[in-house]
Amino acid sequence: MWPLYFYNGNKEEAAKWYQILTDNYYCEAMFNIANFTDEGTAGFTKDPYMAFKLYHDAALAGSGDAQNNLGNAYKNGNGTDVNEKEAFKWYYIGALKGNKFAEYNLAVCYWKGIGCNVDYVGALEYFTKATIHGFEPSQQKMMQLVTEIMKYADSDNSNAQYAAYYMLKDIPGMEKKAMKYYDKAMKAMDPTAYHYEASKSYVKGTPEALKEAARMWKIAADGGEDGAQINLGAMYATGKGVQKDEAEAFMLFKMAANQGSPLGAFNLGMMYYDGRGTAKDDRKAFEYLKIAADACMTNAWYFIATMLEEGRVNADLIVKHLGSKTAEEYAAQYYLYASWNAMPQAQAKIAECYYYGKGVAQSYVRAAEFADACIKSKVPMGSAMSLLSKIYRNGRGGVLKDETKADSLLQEAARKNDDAAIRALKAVGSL
Amino acid sequence: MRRLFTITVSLIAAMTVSAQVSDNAKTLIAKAEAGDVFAQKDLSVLYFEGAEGLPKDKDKALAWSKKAAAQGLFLSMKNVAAIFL
Repeated sequence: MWPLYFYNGNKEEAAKWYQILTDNYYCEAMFNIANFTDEGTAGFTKDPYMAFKLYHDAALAGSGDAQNNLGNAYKNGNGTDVNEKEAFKWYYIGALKGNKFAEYNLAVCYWKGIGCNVDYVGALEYFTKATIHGFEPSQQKMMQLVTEIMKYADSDNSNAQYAAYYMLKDIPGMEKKAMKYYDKAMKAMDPTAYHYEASKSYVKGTPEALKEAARMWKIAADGGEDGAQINLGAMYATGKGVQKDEAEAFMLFKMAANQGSPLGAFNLGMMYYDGRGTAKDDRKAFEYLKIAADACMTNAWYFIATMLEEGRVNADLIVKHLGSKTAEEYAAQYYLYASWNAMPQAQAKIAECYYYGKGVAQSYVRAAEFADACIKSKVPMGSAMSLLSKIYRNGRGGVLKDETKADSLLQEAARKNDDAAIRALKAVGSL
Repeated sequence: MRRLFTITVSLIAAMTVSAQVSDNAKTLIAKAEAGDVFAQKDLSVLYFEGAEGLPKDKDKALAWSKKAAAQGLFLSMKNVAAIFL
C-alpha cells in the first residue's frame, strides 16, 4: 500500500513493529523477523539455526512464504538435516495456502516422488496452479512432465495412464486416445483415477451419482487414497448418498489419519471431540486436533483453542505437546493464529481475550480491532458486536466514547441473538 | 534531488487544495487529536491520498499512523513497518 521509495529503508524501525506483531503471532511479521535473522540485517545477528527455528514458528502460524522456505530447508538441509517427508509436508501445506512457489515445489515432489508416492495427476494439478498464480518456470517443467507421462502411459503405469487421460480429454480430436488410457487406468483399479472420478460424480449431486461416488471412493479408499477415505467417511458421517453410519465414518477417518493425512486427523479429532462414532474422549480429540493444527488447519487451531479455554486439556498434555505456558496463553495463541488467517469466529474470541486480558496483555484497542475485523467479515458475530458496543459505551483505552455507535452495535448484536446484548437491552427496557 | 522534488510536489499540492476540508475530515482531526486510534488510522489514509480536502502529506500520514501504532493498533503497525522495510 505504501510505496517503498518514500522513506529510505530503515529496517531497524520496521523490525521494532514487526517484533510486536510477532509477539502477537502475526505470521507475516514472524516471517520478516526470520528473514532478518537469516540475512543478519535490521540489527539481527546472522544465525542460520535460529533462522530455521523462526521460519518454523512462522510456518506453524500460517505464513505461506515461511512454509515454502521450510520445505526448501528440509529438502536441501539448510539449518537442519535433510528430510524429504518434512519437505513434502511443508510444500503441501504452503500449496494449500495458495503460495505459488510451494505449488511448484509440491508438483516437483509428486513428479519425482520426493517424500511421497509418484503422482502424475497431482504434479499436473499443482504445476497448473503455479502457472495460474504466475510462476513462469512451471510451464516449461510441465512440458517435460507431459513427455514423461506419455512415455509411461504406454507402459503399464496406471497413474500415468489416468494422467494422460486427464491431459487429453479436453483436446479436440484426442477424445478417443484419452478414452483408451481412461479404460486402462480404471481397469487397473488405479486409486487416484477412482478418487478423481468419484469427485466428479459427487458434484453432480443426483442420488445415482452420489451412490456411484461412494462406490468409486470405496475402491480408491481400499487402494490407500487418503482423500477418498476422508470423502467417503464424510458421506457416512452425514448420511449423504449412503446409509448414515458414524462408526464407519470413524474407521475411515482413522485410516486416513494413520496414513498421515492432516484432514483425516482433524475429522477424527472432531469425532472424539463430539463423541460421534466413538466414545467422547478429550485426550484423543486434543492429540488428533494437534496434528491437524501443526499442519496449519485453521479450524483445528480454533477447536484446540476452545478446548484449552474450556479446561478440557489436562496439564500433562499441555506440557507434553505445547510447553510450559498456561492453557489460557496457548488458547490465545491458537485464536491469534486463526484470527490473523481471517477466521471470524476466532476474531470474536480473541477480541474477548484482549478485552479481559486472558492469556494476552490486556488491550481495549486490540479487542476493538479484532471485534471490528469480525464484524466486517462475511460471518459477523453477535458476540463481537456486543463487545465492541461495550468498548464504545465506556470509551476505553485509545477508543473514544461514542454512544451512537454503541447503541447501533447493541441492536445489531441482539438481532444476531447475542445473549449479552439481549440482556443489556432488556435491562434498559428497550427490548 | 528527491527532496527538492518532494517539496515542489507538496507546494503544488498545497496550492491546489482549496479550503474545502470535508466535515468527515474535520471530525476525524478532532477525534484523532483527542487520542482515538481508529480516527488516527483513517486520518493517516486521508493525508496519504490527499483526500476530502486535506493536502497530500506523507509526513503527516506517517506521523498519524505511528501514533495509532504506538497505541497498539496492529493495522497501523503493519503499515508503518512496511514503509520502513
